Amino acid sequence: MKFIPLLLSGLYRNLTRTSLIFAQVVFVFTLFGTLQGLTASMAMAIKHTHADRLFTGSRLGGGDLLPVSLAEPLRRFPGVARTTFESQLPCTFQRPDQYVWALGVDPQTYFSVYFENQTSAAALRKFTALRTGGIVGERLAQRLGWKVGEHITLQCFVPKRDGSRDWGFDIVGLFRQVERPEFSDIVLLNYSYLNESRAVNHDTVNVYGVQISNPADAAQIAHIIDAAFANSAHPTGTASDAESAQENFRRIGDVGFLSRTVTTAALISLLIASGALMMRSIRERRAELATLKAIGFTHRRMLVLVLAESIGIWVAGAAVGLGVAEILLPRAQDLVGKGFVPLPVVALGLTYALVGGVISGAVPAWQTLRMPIAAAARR
Amino acid sequence: MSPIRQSVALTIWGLRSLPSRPGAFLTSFVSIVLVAAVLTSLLSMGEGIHRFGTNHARADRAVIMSRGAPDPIESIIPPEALATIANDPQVRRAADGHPLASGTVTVGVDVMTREGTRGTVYLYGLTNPQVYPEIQLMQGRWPRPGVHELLASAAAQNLNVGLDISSRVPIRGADWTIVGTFRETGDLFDQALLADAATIMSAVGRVSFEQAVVILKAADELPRFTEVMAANPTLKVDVYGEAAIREERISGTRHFLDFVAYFIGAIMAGAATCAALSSAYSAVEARAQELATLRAIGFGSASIIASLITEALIIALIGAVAGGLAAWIGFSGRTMSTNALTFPVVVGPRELIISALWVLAIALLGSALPAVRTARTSVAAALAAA
Repeated sequence: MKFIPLLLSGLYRNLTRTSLIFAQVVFVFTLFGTLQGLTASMAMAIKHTHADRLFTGSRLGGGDLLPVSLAEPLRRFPGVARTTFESQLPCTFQRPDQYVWALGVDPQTYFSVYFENQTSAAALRKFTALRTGGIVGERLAQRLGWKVGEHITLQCFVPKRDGSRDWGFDIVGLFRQVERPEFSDIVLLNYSYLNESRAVNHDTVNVYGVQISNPADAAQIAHIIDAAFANSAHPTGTASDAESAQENFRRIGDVGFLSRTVTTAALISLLIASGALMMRSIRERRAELATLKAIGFTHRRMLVLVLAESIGIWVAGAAVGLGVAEILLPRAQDLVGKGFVPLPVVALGLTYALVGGVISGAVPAWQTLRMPIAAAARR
Repeated sequence: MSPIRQSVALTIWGLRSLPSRPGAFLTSFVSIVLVAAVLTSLLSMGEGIHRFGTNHARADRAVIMSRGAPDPIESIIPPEALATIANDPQVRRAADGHPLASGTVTVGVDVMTREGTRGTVYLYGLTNPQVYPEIQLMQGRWPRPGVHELLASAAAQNLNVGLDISSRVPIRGADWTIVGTFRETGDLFDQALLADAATIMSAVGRVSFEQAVVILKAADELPRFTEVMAANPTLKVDVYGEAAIREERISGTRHFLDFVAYFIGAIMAGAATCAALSSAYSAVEARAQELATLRAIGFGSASIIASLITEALIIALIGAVAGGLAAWIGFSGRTMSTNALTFPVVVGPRELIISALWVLAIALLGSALPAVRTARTSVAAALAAA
C-alpha cells in the first residue's frame, strides 16, 4: 500500500500550483474568520450585558443633562432596587492629547449598582471620607503609571468657580473591572466635590444607573419611567444595558452591514474560484489516474486518494486562515471591545472547507473515473 | 520586426486566444472584478462622509471653541467672549455694520422617522444666521427671536414625520412651531432644525454658547486672527479654519471606514493575486509549445514577457472598469448611517483610481513571475516537453 507516497506525489507534482491553491484558501478563510468573528463578538458583547440594569439619561441625548434631584423619584418607582448617577468630567493630563475621563459619582451607591467595578472596603471608606479623594481604574493607573497616595492635577474642559481648569485629586485606591478590564480606563471622583467646584451645570448629572429587582420587567419599567417624565422640564430616555450596547454597535451599523453583504458575495465567488482551480489541477492528471486504474486501483481507492488531497489542502488552508483571523481580530479591539473568533465560527469554517474539498475533488475525479481508461489516458 | 511591434503583435494574438482557455481566464478575471468592486464600494463610504463633512466649508470662515475642547459638547463660549470675538477688526461686517459672527448651540431632538423608528435630528441655535449664507429659505419665514419657532431642512422633513410647516415639536415639555423650510445643504446641516440661539438657551437652561463662528475679511487673515485670539488672556480659545475642523470631526469615522476598506481589500487582493498567478501559470503551460515556437522563429524573450504582462494588465483594466461600474451602480448615492450621521455614499474618481491601481498591481504581480519563468526555459526543452 503506497497511499501516502502517492498522495504526496500528487501534492508535489506541481508545487507552485499546490501552494497557490493553499494560499488562496488561506486568504479566503482569513476573510471569513475575521468577518464572522466580528459579528459574533458583537453578539457576545450584547449578550454579556446586565439584564437588570437600566440607564436613564436625557431624552434629548448627547450632552444634555438631568437634574440630580431625580435620584429620589427614580428610586421610588416600583421594581427599582437601587439607583446611582454619574456626572462626566472630560480632562487631559499633562499633555493636551492625553485624555482622562473622570466621573463624579456617589461613593455610597456607585459600587453597589456597578458591582463589576470592585475596590477594597478600606479604599471605599477613604473615598467617602476624603472630599478630594479619587478611585482610579486599573487600566488608567497602568496607562499613566499612577500610584495610590499620589496627588494628581488634571486639566478639565469644565471650569471651576475660581475660573481655573486645574482639577486636583488624591488617589485613595484602585478599582478593578472584573468583566471588561478595558472599561476601567477612568477615574471616579466624589460627586459632591465636582458639583461644588464647577462653575457651570450645578446639580446636574449625565446619566442614572438604575438596578431593577426582576430583569423580566426591564422594558416595562423603562417605559413607565419615561412616561412619568415625558411632560416634565426634563424628559428622560431610559434604555436597558443591552439596548445601549446595541446602540454602541449601531455606530458601526450600516458599515458592518454593507461590508458584510459585499464581502459575503465576494467570499462565495472566491470559494468557487478556489474550487475551480482545484478541479483543474485534478483534471490535468487524468492520464495518471487512468494509469492507476489500469494497474488495478479500485474506483473507491482512487476517489479516496483524490479527496484526501483536495480535502487536505482545503482543511489545512482553512485552519491556517482561521488562525490568522484569530491573531488579526483582537487588533480591532477598539471597534468591538473584545474581538475573537469563537468556536462555532471555527467549526462552521472547517465545515465549509470540508464541503469545498469534497466538491472540488469528487467532481473531477468522478468524471475521470467514468471515462474508459483509453480515453482518459489519451487526454 | 522591432521588439515593440513584436510585443504588440503577441499581445493581440494572446488576447485573441483567450476564448480557447476560458477556465483559467475566468478564474482570475472574476477575482479581479471582485477586488475592484469591493474595494471601490468600501472606499466610497469614506469618500461619502468626507464630501458630506466638508461640503460648503469656506476658507474664510473660522470656528472658535474653548481651549483644548475636543468637540463642541465640551466647549463653552460665554456671551462676553462672543462679543469680544465678534468685535475683532478682522471679522467681516455686513452692509448694516453688524459683524458676521454667531454663537452656536446644539440640542438633540427626538423625532419619529417615516420608517417608524426613533431618530434624532439636531437643533442648531444661531445668534446670526448670516454666517451661513448657504442656508436658503425655501418656504415660510425665519424663526423670530424670543418665540418658540423653528426652521426645518427639507431633508429632515422628508425623512421624519411631524416636521412640516406649522406642526409642533415638543422640546423640554414646551411646544415649538415649525415656521419655515430651508434647502438642505448636502452637509452637516442636512438633517437639521434651526432656531434663535438665545431662545433655545433660555428654554433648555444654558448660559453659554458651544462655539462661535465668524466670517473673516479674507481667507488669509486666519493665521493673524488665530494669533490675536490666542494672545487674549480673557478668552482662552482655540481657532480653527472651518475646513480643518470639519475634516477633523469626521476623521475618526473616516479612518474607521478606510481601515475596513483596506483591511478587507488587502485580504481579497491576496486571494486574487493567488488566482491570477495560478491561471497565468496554467496559461503559459498550456501555451508552452506555442511560445517556444515563437522564440524559435526569432521573437525575443523580452517581447514575450512584455506581451504576457501587457495582456494581464489589459484584462485587469477591463476588470477594474467592470468592478468599478458594478460598485457605482450598486452603491453610488445610497445613503448610510453611522455615528448619528446619515450621508450618501460617493463613488468618485479617487476610489476608482485607487482600486484600478490595486488591480493593476495584482495583474503585474500575477503575470510577471510566470512570464519570466517561461522566457527563461530553453526553447529546446519547452518544445521537447510539449
